[in-house]
Amino acid sequence: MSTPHLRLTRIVRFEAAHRLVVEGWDDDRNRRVYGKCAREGGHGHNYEVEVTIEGAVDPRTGFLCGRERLDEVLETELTARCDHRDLNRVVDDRVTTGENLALVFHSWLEPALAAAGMRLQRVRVHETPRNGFEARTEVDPSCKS
Amino acid sequence: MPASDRVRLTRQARFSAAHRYHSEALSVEENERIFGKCHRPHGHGHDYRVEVTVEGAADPVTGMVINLADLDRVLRERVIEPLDHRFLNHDVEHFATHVPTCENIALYLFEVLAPALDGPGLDLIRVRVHEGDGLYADVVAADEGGTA
Repeated sequence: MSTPHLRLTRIVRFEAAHRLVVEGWDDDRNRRVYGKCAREGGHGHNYEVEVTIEGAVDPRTGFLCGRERLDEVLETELTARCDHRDLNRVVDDRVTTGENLALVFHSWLEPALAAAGMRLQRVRVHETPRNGFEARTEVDPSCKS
Repeated sequence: MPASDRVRLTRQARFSAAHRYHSEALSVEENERIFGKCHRPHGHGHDYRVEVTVEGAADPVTGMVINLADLDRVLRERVIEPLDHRFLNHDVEHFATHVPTCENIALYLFEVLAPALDGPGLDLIRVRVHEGDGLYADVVAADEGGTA
């Protein structure tokens, strides 16, 4: 049997405000599309973000290679930027839907984790326990096996 | 398109165990720097949760991929009895030479479960080990790529 894949997932939790609006639209149109999520004062969620890295285990530490720096990268790239903040001010040029947050967090984390020697496999954002949004790192077809 | 006749089944098992992170391959300073309070000599513990996923065709008569009683017996013999209420570093031979991290526990369980759950008509797809509610490790069968 060939070697199985090893992945490690850390769950980061933070609380943040947001509001769903497209900047170029008028209030009526935003309300029609986003309903109460478009209300002017915004609202908030207890976000849970699952960050999954993939790789080999370091036989000396028993950690997936690079994992000793995982929490530090997550603190800098995710918690410090998002916790108790207004996500509409943190994320530029995109509506702060769960879909977009998954893509944005992936774009922040992928290079920072790579610089610390880790390969990001996916980011899953739970806006509430009832909805989850997942962005995955593309697999280079030439490296698939 | 109709569903494939292959169905995946996930069963959960739980065990509580103590462990300590210490590596003979590292100096005392490195052990302390990398493992922090997890290096303390008398260890600490977790309530581990293990999810085991197998795949096969549901038997046309019984409607089962595997009899859950058989799966539970495998989990009892290979996961719960050897690991539950143990100090992993001392009581499980494998962890005398492998640091009992979440990653290594998942790799170990995949290895010990595969001979019982991977064979004709049944594939072991994934072993997931949750160490508390903020960290889990997955070991996924090689040919499952990103799907499990």
